[in-house]
Amino acid sequence: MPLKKPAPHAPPPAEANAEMAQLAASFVEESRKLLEEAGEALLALERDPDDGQAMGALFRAVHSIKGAAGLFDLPALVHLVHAGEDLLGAMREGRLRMDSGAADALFEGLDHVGRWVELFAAQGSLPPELMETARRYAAIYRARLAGLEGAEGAPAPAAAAVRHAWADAAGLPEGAPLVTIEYTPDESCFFSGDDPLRIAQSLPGLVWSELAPREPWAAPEAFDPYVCNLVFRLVSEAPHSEVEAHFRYMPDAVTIGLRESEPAPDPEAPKAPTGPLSPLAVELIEAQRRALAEHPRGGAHVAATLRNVAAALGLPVPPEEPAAAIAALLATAPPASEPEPLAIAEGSATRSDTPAERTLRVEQAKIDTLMNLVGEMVVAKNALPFLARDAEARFGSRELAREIKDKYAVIDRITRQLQSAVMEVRMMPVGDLFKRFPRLVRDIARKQDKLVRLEIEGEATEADKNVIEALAEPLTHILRNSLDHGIESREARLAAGKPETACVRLAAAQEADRVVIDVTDDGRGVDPARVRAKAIERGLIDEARAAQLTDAQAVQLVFLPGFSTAETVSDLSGRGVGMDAVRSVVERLGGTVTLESRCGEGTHVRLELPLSMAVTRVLTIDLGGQAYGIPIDLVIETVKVDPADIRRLKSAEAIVLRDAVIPIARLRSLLGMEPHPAKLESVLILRLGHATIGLVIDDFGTCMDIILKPFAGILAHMSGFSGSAVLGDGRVLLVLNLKEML
Amino acid sequence: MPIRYDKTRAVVEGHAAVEEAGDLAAWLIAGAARKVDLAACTGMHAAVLQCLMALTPHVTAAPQDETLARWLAPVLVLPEDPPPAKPARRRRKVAA
Amino acid sequence: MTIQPFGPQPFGEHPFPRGPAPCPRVLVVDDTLTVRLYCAQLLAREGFEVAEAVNGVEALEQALEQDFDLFVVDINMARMDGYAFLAEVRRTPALQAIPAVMLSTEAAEGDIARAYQAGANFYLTKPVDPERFVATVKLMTGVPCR
Repeated sequence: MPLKKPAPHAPPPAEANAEMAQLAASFVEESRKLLEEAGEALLALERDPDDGQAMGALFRAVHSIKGAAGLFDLPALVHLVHAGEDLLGAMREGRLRMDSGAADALFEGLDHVGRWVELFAAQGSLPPELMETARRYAAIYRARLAGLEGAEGAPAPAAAAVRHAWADAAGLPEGAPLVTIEYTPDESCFFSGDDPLRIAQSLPGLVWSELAPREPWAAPEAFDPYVCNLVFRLVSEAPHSEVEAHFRYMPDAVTIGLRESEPAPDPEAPKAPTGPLSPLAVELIEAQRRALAEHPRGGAHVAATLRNVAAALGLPVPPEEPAAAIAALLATAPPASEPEPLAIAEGSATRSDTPAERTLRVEQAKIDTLMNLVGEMVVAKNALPFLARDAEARFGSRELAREIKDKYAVIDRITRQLQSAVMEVRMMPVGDLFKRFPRLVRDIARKQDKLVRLEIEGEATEADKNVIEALAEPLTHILRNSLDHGIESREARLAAGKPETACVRLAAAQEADRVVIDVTDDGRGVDPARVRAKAIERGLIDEARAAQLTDAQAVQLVFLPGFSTAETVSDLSGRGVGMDAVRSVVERLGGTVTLESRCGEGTHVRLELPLSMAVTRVLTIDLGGQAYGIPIDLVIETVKVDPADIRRLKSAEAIVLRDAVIPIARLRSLLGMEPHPAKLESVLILRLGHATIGLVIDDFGTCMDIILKPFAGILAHMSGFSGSAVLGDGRVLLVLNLKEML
Repeated sequence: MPIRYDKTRAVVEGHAAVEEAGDLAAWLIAGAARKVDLAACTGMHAAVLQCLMALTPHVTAAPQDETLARWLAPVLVLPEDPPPAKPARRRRKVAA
Repeated sequence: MTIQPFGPQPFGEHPFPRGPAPCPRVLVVDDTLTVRLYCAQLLAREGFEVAEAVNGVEALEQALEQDFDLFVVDINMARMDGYAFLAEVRRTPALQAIPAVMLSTEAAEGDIARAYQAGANFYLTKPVDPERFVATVKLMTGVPCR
């Protein structure tokens, strides 16, 4: 990723590389942000083409990307962005209107730029063939501009700004304005019947030509005569419009510039000295004449500039009156002595400190490491209660045991604070995730010719980065389902007496220690009859059972593995992942998903997730001498029940607790173990979804924080367990997935 | 048949079209000392021109066609005794 | 004279006793972080002290608080663009004598004319040619330069 030119007084290579890398990293990060802003602004413009603020924001974002990209060797990226900027410039000035076609083309272009930025981030350069893509989009943008110019007959402003450096060296006749053309035929142009040589030869008003290979010629064995590798530099005395017309079928292969004759020298201006005054210095001094013309009465800045230039060049202090100073500076012969060597100037000034950052940017990997360390600390800390028990039981020192427990309490508190501090750092607003959905909804809606308004609420709600990131796919899927299957066609909506534009609402909120995300649409809803039929057809449920289900229960069948309501496989719904995939992701995160639907009125999917997922608090239980963990947030209470109080209703069992009948299940039988009669049954009262259920176990253990590791490899599909954790004393705790079991 | 191939010399006559480029390139690559005679050539497709530019065969005779010769002169090495009435060879041309 | 590229100079041998402030301060105003960083790198390497601002408003705030020897100003910026910033500077007595160079991707004559109208002393087009940029800044701040 070399800069276009080596910087003057280049620092040692290592330092230069570090600076370069820093610059590149900054460019990548900034471009990502700008692309995001551009995308948002473009969406806003599509809704309201007259949104001047969005237009300004979009133009600035694209303009900034172009400006920054120019520092690197990224011709394709600059080419595309430049063309986009020209188009947006015309729109900003009101010469052209944003429409959905233009928005589509701009969106696609931005997507390409986004990919290229990532490619640049990964590889440090871009493959040259991307220029093809850049040209294609540039052509699309220019075509829109050209349409505009055709309509208004205005000259092409972008073309007029092109200046071909080679034209200066070509020794062209002075006087009449000439049109300079650089014609780089497309590599594959021979296949579309073009003969670039003939096109060049037949250029009207041709006065000068030069022909060269675009890239050095390949070795003879590798030479392909049918890949055009020529570039033509042409100069014409024909009018600009005529030249443009000549190349109208290949606007992308040519740049057309104007070589205006040199402006007549100001007769009053003293002749610039040809002495050692550098051209830049002369230019700078001349520029003050212009600056002064604009500020005849002010001019303090002109005088100051002239004084500084004089000082820099070692010339005597010029007169205070600016016009006189300009004349004096241009007239004064520079001093005979050599100017001060630059090295001295360098030494005199102190190096400035790098500008201070207000926020600290940290790589995610570092936070992850910190999080893992906190996790290990939690586990290590959990060893202390075992140590206290040993102190008492094996060494008979109750005092030591109490002291260990006291210390444990302190370490426990600090660990918790540390943990929440790190959690805090990891929190990010769901808005970061929601940002991508307006685009998704727009694209799908356009493909299906539906009108959809996406309302987003609660973007500021925060949750752990892992939770947010893991939600991207399920939410995408839910939204796609909603647009594919929920939202009706425009005709159907009108026929049903609904507004033509459908509404999809995406809302996030925090409830206690959980994030709740609601996705609501006003589409046709889920048809319980169709769901029943499909479930039976797929063999997921038998007819008798299906008939027993209420409609509300029936729609939940969509969460069963192997169920998909998609009538046709569209490219939109993705690879046949159904709602079961959504459910499994959400549940893996320790969350729940529910679906409510009113046929004809709409669907409401609710995701509830823990704010953070790194540490899980579990209640350990004992079963046949083995410890199991149950997520504490499922446990309402623990009770000891006389076996005689367990009522039998047919084959099911239940207890009555504070006048409520609670069905119970026995963990031993769920796990296929022998029953274990006890004098008092230990029952965990659990909340699973909206149901309350009692679970009979052998004995309760304690509460503890664990780092839950999902099973990997062949264990990954083991049902009934959500993962394992290593306890402080080295034992492995299996954490039950009761939702799956019951 | 715009290009006639001798043992070591290709003679281009009339306008050499795009289809000729493949054969010409293959022929030029096949032997090191192969030459091209452009005397009777009145025009060529850019693909043919590319072959001559890339594979740099020895050109035994420059085109008699003045316009074509002017285009080729800067990019090919043409023989010193050119066809009659050819203007001085320069890298750049300035037409009237 | 011995040349000491870095470090303090012996008092009596100060290389340019008649020069302006030995360490000119430059304010770079551009909404593109990468461009600011690039300019800052180039200038810091040459011993300039560089401050940065992302738009005209921020730049004015800084300019009124600190002394600067030169403004390097982009055109297109949110909130207050380069033209408006320069016009404001030229209206403000405390700032009106500070030279300014405009640095922009626009190369159209109309943009250049507007820049001088607003109060620019010079105009450079992006992408920045590093040598030209550094030489311009040196000339405009009075740092010895060939």
